[in-house]
Amino acid sequence: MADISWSDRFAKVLIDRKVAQTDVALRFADIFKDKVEFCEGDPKDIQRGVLSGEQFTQSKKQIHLTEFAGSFFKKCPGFHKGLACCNYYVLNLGFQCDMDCSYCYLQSFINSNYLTIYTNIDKALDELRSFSDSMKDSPVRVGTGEVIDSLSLDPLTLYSRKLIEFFNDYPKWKLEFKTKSALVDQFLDCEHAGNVIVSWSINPQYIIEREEHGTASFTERIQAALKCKDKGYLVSFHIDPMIWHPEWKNNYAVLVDEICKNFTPSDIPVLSVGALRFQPQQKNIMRERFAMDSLVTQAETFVGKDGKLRYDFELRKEMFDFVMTRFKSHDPAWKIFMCMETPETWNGTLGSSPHRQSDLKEFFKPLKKPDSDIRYPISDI
Amino acid sequence: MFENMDSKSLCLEFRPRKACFSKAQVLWRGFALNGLLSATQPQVDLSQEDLTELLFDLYGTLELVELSELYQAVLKEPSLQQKIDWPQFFRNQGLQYNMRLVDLLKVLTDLPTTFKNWAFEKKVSANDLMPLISLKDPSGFTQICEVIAERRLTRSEGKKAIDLLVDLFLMGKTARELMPLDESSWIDQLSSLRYPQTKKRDQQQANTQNQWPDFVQVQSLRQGDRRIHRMQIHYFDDSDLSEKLRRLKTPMES
Ligand code: SF4
Repeated sequence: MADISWSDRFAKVLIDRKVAQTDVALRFADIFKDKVEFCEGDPKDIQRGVLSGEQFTQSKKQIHLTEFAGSFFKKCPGFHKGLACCNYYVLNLGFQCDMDCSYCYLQSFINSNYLTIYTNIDKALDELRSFSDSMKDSPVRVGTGEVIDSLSLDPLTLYSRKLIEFFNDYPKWKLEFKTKSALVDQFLDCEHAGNVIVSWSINPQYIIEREEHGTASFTERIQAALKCKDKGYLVSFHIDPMIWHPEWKNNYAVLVDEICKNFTPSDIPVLSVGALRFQPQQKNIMRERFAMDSLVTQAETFVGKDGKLRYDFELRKEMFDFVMTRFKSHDPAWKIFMCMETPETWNGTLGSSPHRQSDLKEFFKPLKKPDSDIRYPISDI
Repeated sequence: MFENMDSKSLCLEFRPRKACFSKAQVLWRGFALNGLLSATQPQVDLSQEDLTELLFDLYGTLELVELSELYQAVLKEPSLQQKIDWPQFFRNQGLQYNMRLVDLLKVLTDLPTTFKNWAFEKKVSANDLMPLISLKDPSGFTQICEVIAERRLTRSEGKKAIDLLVDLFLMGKTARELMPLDESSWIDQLSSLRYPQTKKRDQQQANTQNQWPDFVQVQSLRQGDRRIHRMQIHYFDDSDLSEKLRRLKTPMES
């Protein structure tokens, strides 16, 4: 944490007075000092609704600390008819991300010009506790990186420590952090029950430099994953979104080789691959923010069955085949699945859908719904 | 209640493309809101009314092009602009007030009248035209917009064309390179420019298709993210069909 200049990264930190005495708010006040302002409820200059490109960029530079009023838990968004889904529960402890990937789906989703951090993590833990009676022995999986990166601001919030500690009491449950940062030092000393997965979305350095602005480099992500592995955390990689470019084969080959050089299949229970995809309406804001200078806006994409823009089916298959074959050439024991893909792609590449693959079945087993009155999905946005 | 007033009013410079709901000239705090009506119209002073609601009462639901014209007209009159509740104004029109919409309305103002007429006639939505806000300098796009209007594209063709054209324009193609080459489909022409690699791959795969018997015609088409094949068989009767289907199963013999 010492070598990150947090204060330079944000223009303003606004703290809702009612949370000013929480640990998180006090820590922010200490770190950001003269950038801190206080407000009652919503910031005065908050803009709600569809943001322009400029407003969206601004929203990554100003933080609002407040509490979340609704229910924290909702079902994984991948559960749509016709799409394979990797079943888990999503815990959003904030809203918006401080990094800036050109393809990020938050661009068509964020509706406030502030990066929001919820201070009432204890309420989220209470909700989890409330369905523990009926679910304690079920394979509950909770992921924290859906609308905010799990770890990029974690040295400030230290939420990872609270969550890891909580999950110690639920060894059958799994906690998943998803990140493109390399910020793991803040929780490495925590005692854990071997049920914490730290997963990295990863791409070749060529793509990181062009499309994943403000994220950790490829090497930094691998180094951070190695640190986690050494401390007994489960590690996973999502090679997602694969982005076509003229040198894609070379660059993805290097990526696969590097993973295989540093990890064995038993270190990484599951790897996933996915290709570039986004909602058609997202194209406007991406074009506005990155013009056609990005491999993402330039991409030759077409509307797929689910209404998202994707590469041509055959090209996707070629890209997935390439990565899978490369992994298997290192060691046939590598297990790889495709995220957010249609059953046809699964069948074409793996020969059958994930539910029929003995390796992957466990990860796609539908989970029992909790008996408590937690409702899915909730929507505050 | 209508009066003929001689006083000289300031006029809001807006003329809707369909009729205004009031046959009288409506005055609001010295402004003739539908002031482009003839000066001999009877006048009614509705200064006590809420301006936002009054504009809706006068003009009802407007097409996007009209909205951009009305929006610009109000912006030119600070005393009116201050009194308008824009979020409510756009809510009345079934739209959400946000910077993207405002940017689009501004871009639309500078586009050629022929294009605006086309957009009005086809009831083009804000979503359809949203790609235009990525253009830093829409003036270079004027000529292209005229072609969209001249070719009388349908709304969905227009939407597709605008998306492709904005991409290509931002990729550095000149307006000249984007003009239609002949009477055939302009959208196909633009798609080939926008998706050259997919086009090439489609072509290669079409060329390496199995040789089919001469009684079938196979056409390769793109359907979203998939390439599909459409097959046509002509047959005379059931036995002819059975025979042809049998031969289809072993195409290499045919
Ligand atoms: S790291 Fe994830 S959430 Fe953050 S900008 Fe990139 S894609 Fe979006």
